[in-house]
Amino acid sequence: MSGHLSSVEISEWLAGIRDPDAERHLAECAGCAAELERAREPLARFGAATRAWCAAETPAPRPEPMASAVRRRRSLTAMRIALAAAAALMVAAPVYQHHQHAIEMARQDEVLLEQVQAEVSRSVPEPMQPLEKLVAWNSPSGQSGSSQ
Amino acid sequence: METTLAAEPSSMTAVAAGELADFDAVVRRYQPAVFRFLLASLREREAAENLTQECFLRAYQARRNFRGDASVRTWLMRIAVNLVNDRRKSARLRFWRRAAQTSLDVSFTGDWLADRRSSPEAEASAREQVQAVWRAAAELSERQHAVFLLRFVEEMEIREIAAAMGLQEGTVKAHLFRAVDTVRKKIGDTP
Repeated sequence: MSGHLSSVEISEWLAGIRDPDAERHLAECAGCAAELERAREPLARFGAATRAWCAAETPAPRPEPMASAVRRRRSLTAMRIALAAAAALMVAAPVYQHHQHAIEMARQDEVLLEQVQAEVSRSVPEPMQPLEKLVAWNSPSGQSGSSQ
Repeated sequence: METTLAAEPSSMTAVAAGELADFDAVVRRYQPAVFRFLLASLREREAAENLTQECFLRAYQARRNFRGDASVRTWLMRIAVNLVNDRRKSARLRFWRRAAQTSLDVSFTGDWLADRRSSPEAEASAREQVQAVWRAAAELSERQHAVFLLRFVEEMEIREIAAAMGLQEGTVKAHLFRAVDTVRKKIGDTP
């Protein structure tokens, strides 16, 4: 090592990158050792201050044992699942009812269409059907129908 | 990100097994360190409290998978680091992080560990120095920030940080060097 520690070498040292030459130099050079200490000081203060601050902010330890906490969490999860299922049911029930209603409407429409079809296919209106039968009975072509 | 324990190698040591057998004692012993790391990382007390609880719940549920290669403390820190990473992925947190930073900086200045033997001027100077490091550290990349906190707040060894973060020791040193050099430049410690 040619001279004193550079700023980069001091940062390297603080980061745990230990060069044997630098180590030897630090053991011999009081100036570099002091410089390293001066660079370390703010970081050490920062660590101590942060620890002190966090200690003041640390919540009191929970009296609840961990196993109970896990059980409580599981029951909360189960409750969440149950609530989600209930919510899904609340949404699904109207949808299902709507679907059933649509099927029933379609069936009624079909019945109505069949009735309309039957009505339309009649050759004469219902009140006149006895007269039509009478006419058919008298006509030669109508004999085949009545003789069966 | 899934908190994995895959990197924890085989053969659970008797020490770790004994320690994990009384998990409530594990919580009592390590809760301050886990909370400290989470609070210093997130700068939001409520989030830190929630994630501390989450960290121990995950550890409790995975305790049978812990194979004892690293210490219990390192294992817990690894879970905590993963939780912080997960949390930071959320855009919502990025917003809260910015919002929380100012208010926590104010409270942080109040109760820091002062050397009561020093003069008021020296105390004020030291306080300013701590605040400057705090601000400079807040601007580091997430990985550099985590490494920086684990080293200078948790006072973990390089190999412990490597185990906690799932990184090679050389990678940890590189991140730590960049973090230290950046902080030193920002606080005016370097020429």
